[in-house]
Parts: sequence; structure tokens; C-alpha cells
Amino acid sequence: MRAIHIILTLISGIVIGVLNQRIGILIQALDSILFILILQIGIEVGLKYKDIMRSIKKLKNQLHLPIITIISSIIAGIISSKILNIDTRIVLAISLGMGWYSFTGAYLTLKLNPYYGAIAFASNMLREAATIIITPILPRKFKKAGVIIGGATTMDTTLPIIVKEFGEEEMILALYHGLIITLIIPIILSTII
Amino acid sequence: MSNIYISIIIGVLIGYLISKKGYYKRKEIIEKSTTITLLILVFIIGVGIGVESTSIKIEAITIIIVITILNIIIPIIIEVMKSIWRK
Repeated sequence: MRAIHIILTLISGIVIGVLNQRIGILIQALDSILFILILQIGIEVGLKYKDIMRSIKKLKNQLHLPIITIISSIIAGIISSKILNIDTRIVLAISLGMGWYSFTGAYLTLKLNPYYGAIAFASNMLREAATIIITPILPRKFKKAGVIIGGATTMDTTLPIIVKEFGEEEMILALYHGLIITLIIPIILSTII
Repeated sequence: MSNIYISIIIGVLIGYLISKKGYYKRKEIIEKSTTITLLILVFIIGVGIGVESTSIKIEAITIIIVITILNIIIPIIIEVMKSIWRK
């Protein structure tokens, strides 16, 4: 799916929301739609079971990378909350969205309010865009930083750019990393908020 | 939110069983349906932003920028520190 589809859908939602305040009732449906999305993502991960097992065998010394991604997002969240003087829990939840903007945006809209949902959506979408822009300019020595910044997106949208810049051998790492992060995000967010 | 844990586990199990049976053609259908769900979700988030648009201030942009920049800088700092540590 192209980013343009997401942006156009988002803009049409915003326009309809501005024009008709009563349509805000749709937000009540988020809970069920999130449930369906998680189920579908779970199925996709289950379908890739063989690939995951194969990649785990090849990634002996790099299995810890998703942990570094989570730690760096926690550090970023804590520092941001100090700078912005906002509830640490909220900023941590936004930061720990780790690039999965649709889930984090919807989850925070449901659990907090559309204001923080919009911030989580934009911040995580920017993270994905930053991965696409920054990965090509990163020195090869720090290539893992590109995967960490990519977060959950390294298994789909940012996978081609990582492979293009760092080679086929990084594909397995990026795929494994994205899958683990995608599975972990809903669990972490539901623990925080 | 135990629903999330349950749906992940059920989803992974269904996906695993489908892959075991070799129904790879269903993969495309699942991917398409995920895309539709994603677009519905993004649309509703848009509606939420639209409804709340009057209360979204410049403060929101500051929050977005600070969190995003830190999420980019910190992984790079960690990787730099790791390379210094190895030396």
C-alpha cells in the first residue's frame, strides 16, 4: 500500500470530521476494528512462521536488536516527557509505537483521546519517513541504527530501503526485527495505558 | 487489555495452521483484508482529528517533533557508543 493512499484516507477523514461533528461517533467502532487488525497481523506473522524460524538460526548474535529498539524508544520517551513536561506514560506510549502509526494512533484515540491519537499517528508516521530519508545517509558501520529507527516498519514499508542500502544479508535481520517489534507493540501499549 | 493478547495468539495460531496446510493463496486475501482494515482505521483517526481540530494547538506539533527527533538520535547515539565500546 502506498503512503499516498494512507494520506488521502486520513485527509478525507479529517475533512468529513470537520464538516460533520456527529460522525465522531465512529470512534466508538475503533475497539472492534483494532481487534480485527491485531488478529489479521497475527495471522500474517503466523504465515511467516517458517521464515522467522529460518532467520532466528541465521541471526545468532543479533537476536537482541529488538530489545535495543525498545530500550532506545523508552529513553526517547522519558527524555521527551522531561523536555515537554507531559505525563511520562503518554509520551512513552507514543514513543513505543515504534513506527506502527495506525495501531498507536487508533489505540491512543480509544484509550486517551483523539488529540493524543493524532500526535501518536503523526509522530510514528514521521519516524517511518525519517527511516526512508536517514537510512541511505547512515555510514555502513551504523547500519543497525537504520533498522532500530525503522521499528515495526522494517518488515514491510522500510524493508526495501534497508536491503538496498545495506545488502541482502540485512534483509533477514530487518524482517525478524520488524516481526518481533510488531508482535510486542500491542502488548507494551496495553501494559502502559 | 486482555483482548489484545488473545487476538494476537489466535491470529498467530490461525496463520501457522494456514501455512502448515500450505494455503498460500489465502495469504494474498489476508494481506488485502489487512490493508482495508488499516484504511478504515486511518479514516476513523482522521475523523477523530477533524472532530477535535479546534483543540489541536501548536503544542501538538512541538510534541511530535521532539519525540520523533529523539527517536532518531538515540538509536544513532547507541550505535556510536557500541562502536566506541568495542574499540
